[in-house]
Amino acid sequence: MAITAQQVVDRIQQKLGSGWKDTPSDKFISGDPKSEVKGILTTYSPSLELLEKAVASGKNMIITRESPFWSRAVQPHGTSPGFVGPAFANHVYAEAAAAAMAKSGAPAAGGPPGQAGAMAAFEKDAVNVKKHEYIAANNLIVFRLFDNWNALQPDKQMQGLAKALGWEKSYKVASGEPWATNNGSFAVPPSTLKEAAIAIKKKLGSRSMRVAGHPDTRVSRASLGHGMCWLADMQKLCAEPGVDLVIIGEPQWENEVAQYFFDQFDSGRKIGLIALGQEVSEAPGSGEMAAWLKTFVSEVPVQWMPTGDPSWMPY
Amino acid sequence: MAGATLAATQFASAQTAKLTAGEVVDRIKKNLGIPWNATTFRDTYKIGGPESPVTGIVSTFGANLSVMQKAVKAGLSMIVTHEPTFWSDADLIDIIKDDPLYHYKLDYATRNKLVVWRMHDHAHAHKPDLIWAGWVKGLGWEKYVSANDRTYILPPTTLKELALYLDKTLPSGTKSIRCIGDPNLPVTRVASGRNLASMATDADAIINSDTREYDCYEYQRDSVHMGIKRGYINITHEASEDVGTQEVANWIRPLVPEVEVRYIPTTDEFWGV
Repeated sequence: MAITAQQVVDRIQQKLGSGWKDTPSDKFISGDPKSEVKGILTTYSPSLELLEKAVASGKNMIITRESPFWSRAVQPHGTSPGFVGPAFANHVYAEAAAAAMAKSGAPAAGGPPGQAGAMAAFEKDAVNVKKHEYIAANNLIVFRLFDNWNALQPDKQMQGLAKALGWEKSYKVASGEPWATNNGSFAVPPSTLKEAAIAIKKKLGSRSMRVAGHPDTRVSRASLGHGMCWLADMQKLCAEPGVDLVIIGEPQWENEVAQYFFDQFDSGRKIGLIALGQEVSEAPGSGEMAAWLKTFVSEVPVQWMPTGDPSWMPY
Repeated sequence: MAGATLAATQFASAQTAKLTAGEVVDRIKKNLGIPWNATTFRDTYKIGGPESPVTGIVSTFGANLSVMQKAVKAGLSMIVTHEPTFWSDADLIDIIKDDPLYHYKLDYATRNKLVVWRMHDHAHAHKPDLIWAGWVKGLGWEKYVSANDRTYILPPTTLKELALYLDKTLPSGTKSIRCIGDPNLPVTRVASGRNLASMATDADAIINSDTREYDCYEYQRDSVHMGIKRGYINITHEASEDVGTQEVANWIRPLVPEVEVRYIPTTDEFWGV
């Protein structure tokens, strides 16, 4: 029986019930919603390579965490991305900071002047143009499921990552909801920070994982973030009772979040940090998304396809 | 040796002259060559104030605990920091007031009579941008800067060698450089950029710092897949700007001859495995 892309999205919205909220992010980014779906891929960010694999395997709908055109700024269909938009997550200080900045009229921190010309040039950029054309030529449908997936609790991105680490059975919650974002901790096999980092890097297939803290710090209890770690996230992860290992995706911004963490261990606290990288920390969550979709979409194949860590270290 | 004796005499007299942070900041403002933006939320006192005595000045990237500890050990009571002290860009206290780490840090600084003042917006607004000037000098790239001043024409190198050069040369001790692209890519023209739109460069390589991996990394992944001969290097925020605070120290030093003005790198504490 045929199912259209819109029908898939309708079912997602029904499944989320009164939890569904229309947001700028969670939309059809490309393709005709009325198209018949042949197969669905879920992923963190649909790379050009993934799109080629989708075409080769006859799957024409991508349900993605991030936009194929990279930016989180709101993108009207068919146009190029802009700069980083406002933080979508509900971060405690985002409003206060924005108000302080607006009041002062100060320039945005750092960076070279004259961005307007760069935006216009980006519309004609070869990579941007090629990706738009490839999607259109192959009638691919791309739907971004981000804000509503993040709002869904328990946090499936966290659960997916915990499973990928082999930690899901050792989860404990001190207060608040089990598997709420940034909440709870995991008993991990006792080791040094360095040993834990090597094991985790291998387990997750990370190529550019970063570690902070003294390599010989003994670790046995971890708190688990994923994706962007803002200051409020880092504070929460560090405040988890008994934690000596904090795992995140990437710090945002380094001059806020990384500095905070460095102060933690320079204050004498025995604690380590592992920044997995965004893709590595968020990929398993797309596996959870595929499993979730399969419970109410059985007409077509639904497959999780990770894209892997794109970066490497030169050492 | 005569110079050292003179300096020691000058520094000794600072104790009796009771140089204050307010006097230091006044001299900085008077010599910037640009109007002071009084509405800045960044370039203000974070710990202590204009009356705080100055026994020496540290210029650094972040007013980290590790830098404070070094300042105390060196007897230098004023820290001129580029980045926040209490972490958020606006140094908001409301959001950290219940955090034990905030109290630990504030108590440490207060007990040790440190005064912290931030010089971020005006360091960048100075002509030339002091942070950028320090970056260029720190890398020895003065003669490689091309006309539009954020691009460099280097002697031929490769993507991997360029990354290793940054790692070895930048004083913030970074051991966490990440790259995307062919390690053996020939590189001569190098751009630098902060955001997604700047990735669309016709340079051979682009140096990015404190990126957002969901946009810059993913764009670069696609760019490499398309076979575009371009490479990408992501360094930490410290690595990109800490060396610039050495230039801030150099700029402040002649304005305040009474005390030592020292650049203390804020060490980038990340490492790879």
